[in-house]
Amino acid sequence: MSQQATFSAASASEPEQTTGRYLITFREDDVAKGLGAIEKRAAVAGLPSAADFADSAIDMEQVAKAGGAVFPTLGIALVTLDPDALNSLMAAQAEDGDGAILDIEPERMFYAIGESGSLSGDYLEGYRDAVDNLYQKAMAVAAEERLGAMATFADDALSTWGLKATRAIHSSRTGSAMKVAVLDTGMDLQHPDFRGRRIVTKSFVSGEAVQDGHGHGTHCIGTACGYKDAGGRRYGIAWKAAIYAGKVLSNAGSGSSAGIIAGMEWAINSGCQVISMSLGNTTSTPSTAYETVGRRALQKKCLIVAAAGNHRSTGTVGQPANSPSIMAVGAVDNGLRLASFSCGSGPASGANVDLVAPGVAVYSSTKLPTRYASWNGTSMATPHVAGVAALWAQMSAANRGAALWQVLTSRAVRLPLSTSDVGSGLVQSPVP
Amino acid sequence: MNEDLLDAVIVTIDDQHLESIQTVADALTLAGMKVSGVLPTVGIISGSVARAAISTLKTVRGVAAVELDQEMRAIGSPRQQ
Repeated sequence: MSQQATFSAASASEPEQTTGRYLITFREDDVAKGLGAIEKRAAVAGLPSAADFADSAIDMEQVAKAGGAVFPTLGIALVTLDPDALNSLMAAQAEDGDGAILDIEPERMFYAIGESGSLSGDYLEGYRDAVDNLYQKAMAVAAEERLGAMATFADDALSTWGLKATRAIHSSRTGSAMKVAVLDTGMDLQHPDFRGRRIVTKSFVSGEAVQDGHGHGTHCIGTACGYKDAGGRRYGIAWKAAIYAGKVLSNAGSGSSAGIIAGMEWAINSGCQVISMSLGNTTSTPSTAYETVGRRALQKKCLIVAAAGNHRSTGTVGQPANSPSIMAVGAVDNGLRLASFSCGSGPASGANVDLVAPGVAVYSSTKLPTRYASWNGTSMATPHVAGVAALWAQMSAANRGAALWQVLTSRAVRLPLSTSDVGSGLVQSPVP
Repeated sequence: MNEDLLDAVIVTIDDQHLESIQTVADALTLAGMKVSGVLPTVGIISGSVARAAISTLKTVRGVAAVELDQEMRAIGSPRQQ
């Protein structure tokens, strides 16, 4: 549809409208300590506090004048930060994972749907009906425009489309000090893009070394933890994370659950915050073993993400992704349309798709001599989520296990697609 | 059925017996299982057993489930141009 909407609405295609101020969330009961950190690192002090106003109703004029405010009951401060102060504060938060500051995010513009003042009820009802009518007509256009405008992600000289869609290229986080396990066909340890990286390896396939004789594992590791190709195009997300490459699938691309679960045990005991598993079968009923492992991993502050499956034409999310305690990742293409192969949610409890990520024409590293290739699969979507999870985990020591899961789903971008196919939507990196 | 044909199995240990997983492994061995892996953190024991003995394994104290070892596959492939 080419018809233009006659009103201006913020859409996902436009740059996000922010105010230049930042919302800083403090860890529980640490408001005083958090304000101390802001004063020390960003040289901001003397903000008006909601506690000083009658009924905590803060005077917004004073907020504008002071450039911010403190809301002690909410454990939040609103602060104007120049880029230097923002960097300093973010660095402090990263250094001190358990410190008083839980989160820093840009204050976003919100638009009122309607404001009641001294207007009469009749007027408001008439207004509401007119707006409803306009809304109904416009939404059909807006939804298509939004999709159309979003269908612009493309690989270019600087980055892959997937890193743009997940906003990884806009994140200041790197996965530094995080450990990401990728349980797959191993890794090409000779690949030049990973020179100098901290890599821990282990093979759980008898008779085969970690060296990736397939290519799938090196591709998944590239997306989750790689960085740039020889030409400077960035394709990897958590590019400073330690890589735990567990070989649980043979060079032919298959593996037993005994080896896979042994790899999960290894990754959990190694202190990995995230385990990425781009593997599965087509069995729609969850496995008790994988569900139990997933639950125990979350208790150990480890999040497991797994590919939903590529067998959409014949079935729903397979094992192990259909375990309630393992995050199931579906795939979208660069137009944010559901990949034709991406499995939908199954009827079993927890057998639902939780998130989607780029999984069509995903450019990443692969085994030599091919070096780079574009692949399709929910296998390619899964390491996008694992990499982004490492960025969130780096941001705060509170972002672990079930809490990390919650952050990923709550910060995802909703898509105009069936929840059954895309869950909470498209995974998003922490920005800045 | 061939008595010698062993099935690869994955045994899940219940929460109450996580601490004593080795005792459970010993009991599984007595019940006819050839134990190949004991994973104390995730609480899983892998190995193989004659199909006829699977039901016996399920009665071992501390066992939450006995499942056949499922083969998994890599589920991505080079893009077809």
